[in-house]
Amino acid sequence: MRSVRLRFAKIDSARYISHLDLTRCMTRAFRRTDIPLWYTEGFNPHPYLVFGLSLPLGVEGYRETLDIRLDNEEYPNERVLSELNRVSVPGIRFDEITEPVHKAAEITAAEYTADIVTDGDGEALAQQLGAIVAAGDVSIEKKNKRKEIKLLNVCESMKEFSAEATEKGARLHFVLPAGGEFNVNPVLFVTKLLSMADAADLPYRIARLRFLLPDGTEFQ
Amino acid sequence: MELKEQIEAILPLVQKPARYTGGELNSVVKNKDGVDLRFAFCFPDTYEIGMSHLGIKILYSLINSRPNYWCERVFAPSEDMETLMRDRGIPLYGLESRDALADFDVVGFTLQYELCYTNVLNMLDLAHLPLRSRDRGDTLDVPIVVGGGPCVCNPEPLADFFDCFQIGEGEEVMLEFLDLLNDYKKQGKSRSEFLHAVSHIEGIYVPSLYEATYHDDGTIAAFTPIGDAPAVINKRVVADLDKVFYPESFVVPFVEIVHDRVVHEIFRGCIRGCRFCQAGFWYRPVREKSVETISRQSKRLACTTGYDELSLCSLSSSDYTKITDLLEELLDWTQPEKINIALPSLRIDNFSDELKDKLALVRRSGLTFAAEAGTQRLRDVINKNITEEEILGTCRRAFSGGWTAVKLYFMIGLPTETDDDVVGINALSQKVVDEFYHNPDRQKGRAVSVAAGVSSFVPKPCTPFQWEPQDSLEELTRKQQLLKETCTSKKITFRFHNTDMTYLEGVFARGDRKLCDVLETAWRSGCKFDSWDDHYRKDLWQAAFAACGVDPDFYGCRRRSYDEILPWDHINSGIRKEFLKQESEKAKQGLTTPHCRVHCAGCGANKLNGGNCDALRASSVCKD
Repeated sequence: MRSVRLRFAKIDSARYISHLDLTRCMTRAFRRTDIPLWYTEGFNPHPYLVFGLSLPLGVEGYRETLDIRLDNEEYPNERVLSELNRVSVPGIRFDEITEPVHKAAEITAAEYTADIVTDGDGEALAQQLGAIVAAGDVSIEKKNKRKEIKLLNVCESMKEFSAEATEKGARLHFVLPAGGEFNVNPVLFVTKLLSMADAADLPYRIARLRFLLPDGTEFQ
Repeated sequence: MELKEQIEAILPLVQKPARYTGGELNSVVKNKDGVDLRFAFCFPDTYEIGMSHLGIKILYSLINSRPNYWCERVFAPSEDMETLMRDRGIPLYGLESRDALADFDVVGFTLQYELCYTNVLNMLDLAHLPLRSRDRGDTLDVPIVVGGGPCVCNPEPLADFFDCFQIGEGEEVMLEFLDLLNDYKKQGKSRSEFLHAVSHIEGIYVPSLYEATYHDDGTIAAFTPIGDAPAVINKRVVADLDKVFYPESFVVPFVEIVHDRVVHEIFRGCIRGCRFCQAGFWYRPVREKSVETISRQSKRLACTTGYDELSLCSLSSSDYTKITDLLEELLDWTQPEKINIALPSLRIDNFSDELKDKLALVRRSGLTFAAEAGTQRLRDVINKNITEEEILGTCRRAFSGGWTAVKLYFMIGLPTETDDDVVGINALSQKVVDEFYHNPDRQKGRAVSVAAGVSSFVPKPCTPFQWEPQDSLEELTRKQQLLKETCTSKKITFRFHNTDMTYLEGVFARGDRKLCDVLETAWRSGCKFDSWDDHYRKDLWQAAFAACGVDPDFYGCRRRSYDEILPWDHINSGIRKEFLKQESEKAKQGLTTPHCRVHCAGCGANKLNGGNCDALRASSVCKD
């Protein structure tokens, strides 16, 4: 038995697959391949599948991770990728297979982009959103561990932020805390920011680019 | 904004958006400019329910197997989605292309139960299509609206809304229907020319080509074809299940649906002849699929879907002549692949030890038995040929084998029912409980649980009870109360059906064309999803009947005479009316009819299948 880490993209219409549904979708995908997946040995055997972090519904992911265990030392890594891509659903693409270096618990942040579409002036929108963040208070409601709703100022924990104009509107680029300890949902941040700019109706698409370790390097 | 962008914009705002995105595994996307006909297959309920339905999977694959036709799926949107669609003027769209239904050539609805009828109107409206057939103009540019499924054994309450119906099994008639439409579109023919021509395809019913006149008392005086439309429309029947089309893949949803597994129909029809059961007569004659075909096709489906469960379906699985062989053959490859087999619809009487041993290997869940009535007298009336001893004997064996939960299905409101029969439901349930505690081999330390589902009987067309009055609302409610009061055991739980919904179902099951106005009025006042407890609006339905001057009791609670012209008399299910009358008379006398393998009762269903019926064939080799 050996563990490997897969990197996959979950984009376009696949971004609407919820995390729970994704687990089922992946299990079925493996069943359509000849990949010798290792099954747990309990009364009800099931494959071992561990995702790096769940992705909020509607957010795209470009370097999501999935750890699996193979029952066969000889089965070639490239074949895992080609088999999975052969049976995968539209919007899910497997890009890399590596040996896991870090533990998922070491993830502390994630890098995102948010593309906002507007018929108006993208440059002005980017400047406006940048100014709101620069002012230092974008507060969202977040439940704490005792399920009480508290206000959380995202600007205090956000590590990077930039805004620029694009062909269709504006693009935000930012890094937020992520992981089991402290996680900030990018959807709540972006919707709050847009509503502060009186732009709550504008369509947007958020993408998670990669997971980061405490030192700012990528989770491997 | 373009439609596709408008849809994108609302998806983040709704619950479970993956129901509205398409893009599931095995969904079929074609180039719309490269196909001749586009078919929107509509299921008038939510995605989770519609995607569980086997018929849609078969016909979807069948139509898409033709390179020049493209079939897409459409379901009824949930409340949140519908509100956004209406607010923003987004029309109902096909999941695969996200194009509006008005861009399609055919809009087809499968009609599985009467309480989905308001959803049909709602979906036509959401699609921005005219509700009534007569308002769609004399052009084939507006999609043809066609209906199919079991409810078309009496399509009359929907007659004004559909251009045509496919009566019976769709696998063959669907392609004949589409080929004719394709020809007529290419020749630039009109809608009326097409409807006239299509009425001559066996199994196609074009309601606008018939005229109904009524007596003063509301019964039908005459039902007359206009021009040369056939006086009787014969149900279509597939001759050979081994040769008929079956999908190589199913669309595999992302969200969890009700039946999320490979489904395989092992035979059609039923040998039993339970007199209340519409499906048991409508799907006759009996036709079995071979063990080899079922195994081969199921294996292929498991491979293309990645499902880890296979469900065998039919009206009565243990009546499949080679059920033990089949399980053996399937277990051979499903066990190594870690695939579970589920086998619903088992009958009590032929639940052999051998079969039980095989079942123990496949999947352990509760035992479910349809006893249907609480006393032997009433079981004889409905021709449910099982005895109390058979029920208890099967439970005894099951309890010895370690089972502790039993589900029983009953009905109240059956013809000739007395209060003794009603309390008999409790008595029988109690005997099952006692059977457990008297069993020395029972699983120790566990309590038995008997869950009795008690639904209310609805007389249906194409059954011997089609002339019977349905119990009134008050009577059904009283009987439910009586049964509740009789029960003293905590081991028994009764679950009842909503009587108001039962009543409405009864009205539409045997309704005529006068109900079209009621249906539209009810829908316009806000009725939809009528089979959902949180949506059903009794007050609005009552108002709709009143506004249209229609007395629902006329359809529900009235005994018909044998010579009355019934609204569905022109639909030929193959079952002879004389046979239904005989069965009706035998019911009144409490006489049973043996099942088809013991003795052919001459129902007539094999006539539509060139005289062939697998129940007849099997009778020569079957021991019992």
